[in-house]
Amino acid sequence: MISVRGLRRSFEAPRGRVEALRGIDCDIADGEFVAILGASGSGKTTFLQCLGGLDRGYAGALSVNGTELSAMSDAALSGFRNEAIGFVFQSFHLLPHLTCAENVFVPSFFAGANGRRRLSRAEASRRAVEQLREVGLERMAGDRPGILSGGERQRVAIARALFNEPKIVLGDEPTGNLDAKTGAEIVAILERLHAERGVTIVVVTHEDRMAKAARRVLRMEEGRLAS
Amino acid sequence: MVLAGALRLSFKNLARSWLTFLIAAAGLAVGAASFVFFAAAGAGVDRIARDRIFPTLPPNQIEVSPDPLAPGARVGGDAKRFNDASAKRVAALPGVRRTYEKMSADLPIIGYLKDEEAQAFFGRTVGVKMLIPAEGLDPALLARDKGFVGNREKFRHPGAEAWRPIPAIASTQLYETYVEAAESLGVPVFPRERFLGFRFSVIIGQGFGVRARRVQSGEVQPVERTVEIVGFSRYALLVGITFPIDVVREFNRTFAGGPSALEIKSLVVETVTPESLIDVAASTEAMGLKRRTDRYAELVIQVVTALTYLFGALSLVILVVAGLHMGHIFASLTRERATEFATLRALGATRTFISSLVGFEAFWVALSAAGLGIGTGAAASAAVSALVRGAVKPHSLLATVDLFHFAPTTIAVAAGLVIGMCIVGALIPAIRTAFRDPASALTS
Ligand SMILES: Nc1ncnc2c1ncn2[C@@H]1O[C@H](COP(=O)(O)OP(=O)(O)OP(=O)(O)O)[C@@H](O)[C@H]1O
Ligand SMILES: [Mg+2]
Repeated sequence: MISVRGLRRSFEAPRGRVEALRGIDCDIADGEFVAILGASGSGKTTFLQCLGGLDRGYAGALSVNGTELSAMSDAALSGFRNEAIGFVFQSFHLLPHLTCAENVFVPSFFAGANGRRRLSRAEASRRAVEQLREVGLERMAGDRPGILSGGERQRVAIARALFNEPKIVLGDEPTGNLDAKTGAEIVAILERLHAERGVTIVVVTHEDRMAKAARRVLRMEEGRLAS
Repeated sequence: MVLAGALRLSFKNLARSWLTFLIAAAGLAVGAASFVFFAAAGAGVDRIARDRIFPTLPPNQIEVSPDPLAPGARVGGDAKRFNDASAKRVAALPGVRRTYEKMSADLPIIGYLKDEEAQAFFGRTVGVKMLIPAEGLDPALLARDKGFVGNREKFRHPGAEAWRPIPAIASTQLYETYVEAAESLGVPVFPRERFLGFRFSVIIGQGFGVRARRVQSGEVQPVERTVEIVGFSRYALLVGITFPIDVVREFNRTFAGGPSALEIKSLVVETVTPESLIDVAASTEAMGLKRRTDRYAELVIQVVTALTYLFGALSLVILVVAGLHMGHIFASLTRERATEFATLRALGATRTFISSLVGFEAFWVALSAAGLGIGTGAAASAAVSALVRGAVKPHSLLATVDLFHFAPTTIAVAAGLVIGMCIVGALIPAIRTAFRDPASALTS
């Protein structure tokens, strides 16, 4: 359960103070599939980063499963991102020098630092291949991301987001860099994830198809939710 | 291990951008190489100067003798003589472990080769007679001479029988001078071992136109004896021969007589530690004893030391500049990789993880720089050694010594400096990267 009350976020930019979020109130229940739509610069990315514990510089209240994110230490918040959140980005952000399987199990590297048991190399690798199978890329496990198509890269990124089996997956225009057909594949994977695992999904998108897949659509306008 | 993940990822990152890391390491490697090269050269030249050219005493020994400028020296307390009693007084000083006496022969000695002796060594007769300076030495001191060649056991009073040869030692440096000279003159060079057992004859108490006091007064007659060379030592008289001190004591008593026969020439003082040397030197000076130093040797060694420090300091400057340079490379490298680090943060990396990751990468750079630098320094010195050796004659000093001396501490200090510089250089980039806001890096 995500609970947002009076969420504000402003930035000090050279051109002056930018009010990216101007007071957002909303609740997202467990297992919801939410799409966020809005014009460029309306604050979608900023909102998503606050939800995912990447941006703590907000004012207002934002809690996930009853825990206020701004009250957490940086280390605790890192652990929260590692375990509870799966991020999917528009431009994938895979590490080019690691194989697909290694990219998928990168989250396991931080387990020790977050005080959890670290998986053995073999175990991590086995689970990475399992996640790759879920997105249909098992055969690419040993390849570098460089030789993959955009759609395939995004599927690897989704497998990485799912590695620690988080309850919440946040996507920032995950289909933004893909053509319609591959975009549709990504939408289908997220839908399946939502249906089969009951994962809470929040995606920023411009795509009708994605918006249709979501059960709920939030529209942002200049840092606020329009309803 | 909390940071095992960072260690593993640092390996991967190193494999990816090894060329960049190598470039970052290059400066440090140059610094380490020059440091190792100059430190080894300094230590090597210093060692040659101390041990071979101007052998000075080990760091826990001094040689003292009465200061002629301090007449009526307090050396013997009430007595004005430098003798066994004075030696005991010095031995009782705090910090002194042992003393070793040296005594001059207060009588003329003529050396020559009998026909059979000359035949045995040179294969022909040699008709040379010459006056030989002689000195007596406490045989125990030979145990302190690591470079001794010969038989220490034989160096003691031969007993009363006149037919027994008197053992003597010659100077290690004298032998080396002979080798140099023989080389340039084209005379055959004999190895040191060839001279062991070399015998010649001496007439004791009789010189060319001079006689020992008690020979002069007719109390005793000059004696003829055989001398055998039993070893080479740095403690031996540079020009002349050195007998066991009891032999010289007996000669002085027999041929010179008087209280002067009991006087010692100098005292080698061995201290408990090299550190206690300063105090002991001060105490002996207060007793009116002068420390024997070879001023020229000291000067040369000081110049070598100064040059070593100068080049060492230069290498340090190179290392510091290289460390700053590496810090700069790391700063721009981590800035370029901001998105990568932000991604790791989004996936759950803590700040500690990120700074450790950068730290480990810097450590690999340091390690390769240290390895590369020390290897290059060693290779360069080996090359210079080979060049020098090729350029000089086979028996000359430079062909027989190591121009470079690699002390384990030099290597350790070089590696430590490089790693230290790397840590200092990478510290700021590592911390700055860890504290960079991941959200803004991922927005663009
Ligand atoms: N780190 C930052 N510093 C300064 N201004 C920022 C920062 N991050 C975002 N902004 C500003 O906040 C506003 C909202 O940005 P945000 O990235 O959330 O928009 P968005 O809805 O995701 O836009 P787009 O659809 O183009 O991705 C913009 O005006 C942006 O310039
Ligand atoms: Mg955006």
